[in-house]
Order: sequence, then C-alpha cells, then structure tokens
Amino acid sequence: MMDQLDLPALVAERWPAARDRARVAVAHDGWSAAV
Amino acid sequence: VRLTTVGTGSVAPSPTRVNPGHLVEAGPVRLLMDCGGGVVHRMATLGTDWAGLTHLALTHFDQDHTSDVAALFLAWRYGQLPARAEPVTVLGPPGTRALMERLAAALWDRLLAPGFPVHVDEVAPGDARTLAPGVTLATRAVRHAPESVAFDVRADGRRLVYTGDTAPDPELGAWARGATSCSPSARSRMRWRSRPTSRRRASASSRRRPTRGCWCSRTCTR
Repeated sequence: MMDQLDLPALVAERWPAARDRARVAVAHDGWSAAV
Repeated sequence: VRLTTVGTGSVAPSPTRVNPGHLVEAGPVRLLMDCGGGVVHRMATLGTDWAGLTHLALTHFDQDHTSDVAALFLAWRYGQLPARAEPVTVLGPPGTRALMERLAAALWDRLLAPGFPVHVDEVAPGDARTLAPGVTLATRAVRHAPESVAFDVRADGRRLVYTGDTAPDPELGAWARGATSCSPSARSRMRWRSRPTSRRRASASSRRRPTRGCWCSRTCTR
C-alpha cells in the first residue's frame, strides 16, 4: 500500500510551501546514483 | 560519492524490499549503513561489491537493522574463494561491541575473529571519524532506540545524511539541511532530499502514529 502512495501529492498537501521546490521519490531496492 | 539503496523495506515482508541497508561508495571507502535481513543477498542480486566493503555502520541495534550482520561476515569467510583477508571496521553507537558479542554467542562464535581483522569502533553521538583521507562519518543522536544515531557522511565536497529510524524531530531537518538525505522512517518508505541546494528541502510525509510518534514500523512499541 505504501508503495502506491503519490508522495509528491502528499507533500503538496501537507507542506504546500514546499510544493514548488520539492523533489521527492520513494527509493527502491537497488536505486543507485551519484549524490 | 555514490549511494545505493540496497534495502528499503521493513519488518513487513515484501516481495520487492528487504530490510534497511544503504551503500556509500566514496574514494576507497565502501560503507554499508545498516545490515538488515536480506541485505547481503540483495547486494549480490544488485551486483554490488559486497566482498569489498571496508566499513559497516549501524544506526541502532534493532533486529531489522542488524540481522544480516552475521550473514555478511559468514559470506566474507565462507561465501567466496579466497576468503576475505582485508580488515573491516564496524562502527556504531556505544554498545556495538556488546551487540557483536551477542551475535557471536548466538550465531557464530568466530564473528569477531573470522580470519580477517575486525575493528569495532563505538562512536558516541556528536563524535566523528575519518574513514579514509577526505571521507568522514559523524553521528547525531536521534529519537528511536536509546542508542540510535544518524550518520553524516562527507566526501568530495558532498554531504549525505542517513537518519536510520527516527521519530519526528523538528531539529533533525535543520541538521540535515542541504544534504542528500535518506530516512527509512516508515514502513517500506524512504524520504529524500535532492542534492542541489536550489532544490533542497523536499520532504515526504509519513503515516505517523500520533499515540507513539514513531515512524519505524507497525510493530514498533516506542
């Protein structure tokens, strides 16, 4: 169920001030990137 | 600095997520942060260099963050030829050595003498260590288990913050500001803040448990 949440929408709902600058993702096993 | 989310799940069985484990590769450092159930085999599935880890860091001692520690050491000793010879450093809050001794007593009596040097380094909240030239790890206490700490890893001008499990803490966001951060703070959940400062401050909500205030899992009693 948690995997089905629309996190960006959730952020926009709960933290509207952060909506435009939020970059949100739900990482999954195996996600990899230079940070 | 490369981050790989090896395990992003929780104690809730999932076909796609194993328990927490996060790999940071920075220069010569191969740092695995937490080592919950399934992480060792997941590293193999992902093709990560599980044999070449140089450091293991534990945020706290809950089972879902530590239950593959012995499996990792056994893999290093018996899961490859030749067996590991390189030293490994296990970092964690005070009590880490006692945890390793308990794991040794329960699972493998050679855990602390597996045929390669094992250094256990207990890092008190607020302390820092240099893992290699230019690569540091610092800790901060977080609200979860009594021993819980978050990690602040810096290398090559980058800063990565990993909270481990944590209850809501308004000061934690300020502490992590500007960093790439991740937090396995809820069931099968990760939270993110992007690297560029212009895009920072992203935040994701969790389904909080108001009566207890902990984000870690449905089975948590804290």
